[in-house]
Amino acid sequence: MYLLFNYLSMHLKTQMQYKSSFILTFIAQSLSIFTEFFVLYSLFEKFSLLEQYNSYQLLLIFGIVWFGMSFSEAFCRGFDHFSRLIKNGNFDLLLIRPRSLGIQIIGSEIAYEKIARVLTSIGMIIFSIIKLNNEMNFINIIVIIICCTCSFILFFSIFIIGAAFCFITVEGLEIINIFTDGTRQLGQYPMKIYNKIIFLLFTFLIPLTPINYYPIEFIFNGGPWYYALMPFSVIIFLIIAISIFKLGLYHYKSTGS
Amino acid sequence: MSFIAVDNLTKTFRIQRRNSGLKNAIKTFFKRDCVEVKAVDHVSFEIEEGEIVAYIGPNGAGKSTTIKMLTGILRPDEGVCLIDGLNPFDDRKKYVSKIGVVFGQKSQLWWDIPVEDSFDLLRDIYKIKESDYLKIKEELVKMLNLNDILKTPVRQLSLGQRMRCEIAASLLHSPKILFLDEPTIGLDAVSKVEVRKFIKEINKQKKVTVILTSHDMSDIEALTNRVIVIGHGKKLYDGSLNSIKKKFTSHKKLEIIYKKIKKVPKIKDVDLIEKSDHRILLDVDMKNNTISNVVSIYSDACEIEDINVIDEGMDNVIIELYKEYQL
Repeated sequence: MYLLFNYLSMHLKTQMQYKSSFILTFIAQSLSIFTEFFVLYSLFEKFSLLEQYNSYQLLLIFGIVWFGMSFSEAFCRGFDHFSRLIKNGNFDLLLIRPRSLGIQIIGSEIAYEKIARVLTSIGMIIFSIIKLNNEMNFINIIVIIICCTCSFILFFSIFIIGAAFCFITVEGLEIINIFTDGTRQLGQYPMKIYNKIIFLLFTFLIPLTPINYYPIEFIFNGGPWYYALMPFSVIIFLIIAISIFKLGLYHYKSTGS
Repeated sequence: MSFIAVDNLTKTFRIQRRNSGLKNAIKTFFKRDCVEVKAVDHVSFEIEEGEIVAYIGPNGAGKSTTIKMLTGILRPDEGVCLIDGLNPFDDRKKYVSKIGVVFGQKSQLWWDIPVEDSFDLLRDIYKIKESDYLKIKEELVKMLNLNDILKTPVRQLSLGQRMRCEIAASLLHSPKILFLDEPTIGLDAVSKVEVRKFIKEINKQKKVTVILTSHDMSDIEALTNRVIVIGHGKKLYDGSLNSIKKKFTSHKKLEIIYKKIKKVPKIKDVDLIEKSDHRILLDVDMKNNTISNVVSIYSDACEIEDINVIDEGMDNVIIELYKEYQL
């Protein structure tokens, strides 16, 4: 853990070499997430799909999914950009260090500018919690925190699976973006609007509904208690992802001289 | 049991083959032609503690692949290597804390940050005790003359300075074995000599076992007498550098510049390589001839203007060696 902070500070030192560019991207990143939400909001307003959820609930779902995505983009960039690590041979250098690969891959790249999005989404979540004060109690807030954490684990796991494929293909696969960006795109809307097949796909293939549907139902629509525990199913997904990664490592070929 | 025991190490890669052209490119998209290439083919050798061993071979011979297996980066398909009682791939974390690796073409230093910060991070990665760390760092800084560059960001260092830092970085945790993959690649003459001197010193002082690959024969001549030659993945030679040298300098080249020649004399075991109007290049087998003998025969046959004896340099020795093994 201490090592992780060290990596963080190293990246910060690097980042500080290019200050103004950093500040500008930081601002741009947090603005972009707002535009996303306004597009979404106006769409929903137009098509009056807001019957089932009010706009703050919408913001909450949006915030939870974006938090998970941004947080893993910021701090697990190494897995997201794993193909680079393999292509330029730097992955070899990680293998000759007596530390866990996970920490080292995370430490290999940190996207500080994405923290803007993390903060914005946290802001959105807090704002919606305040506005939804009537329906909030201690348990519900805990459930929301669990949702956020598990949302992060979900995207992190997808990144790991994507990285595992790089062992075989070297080149990063565009298909992984379908899963990461696709999951985010789909997940930022309430799952109710999709048809059954997509709903099932994003329950059993990628555990998205356990994060942005079941717990929300528990909080606002009186779903049964176990709906609140559904987010924990992403841990199984994480274990599967790590196993796939380990399998890939076994077949690692390295590149060049 | 030797310190490093490599037994029948084998690594096979599948390489895709396709003919050029768009049509073939599309074809391979659906059906791939794979050829299995043995990058390292049943290589065995043993190395004792404190040795310096040069591992040489032409490009693509399997040097780097062997190094990668010895450093635990790649898993061997067949065979075992046991180094200091550990299996590099299976006991990775335990094993790599005992080794230092320098890849001449990859940097372990952080590009935008002063060298010292990279060292500090390595201290935490290897969990080096602060007191040990300071002592070793000071020692290395002194030996490699890094004092002035320790606070400079890596991107502003010259290649020679950077390589010295890389070597220091790989020795901070006092490894027992040092792997150097082309440590002098791209360095100027002065830096090369410095790096070599340091490697020798560290080997002597700290009994660090050094395994290095290089294409620069002067590196190898300066550092070690034991070479392992590999080609097409197979071990071809393992022994002293001197005996290769002796074997392959059994021939010398003799260049004779003359004014007029009546007839080219025929001498046993002397081959004519080139003949132009005023110049003859001979290949003299030193077993049965002496240079003076050949010259005296030629001086009878023609009016000699100048003579050059060309001793085969180490590079040529290696070329001859590769030729003999048909690499």
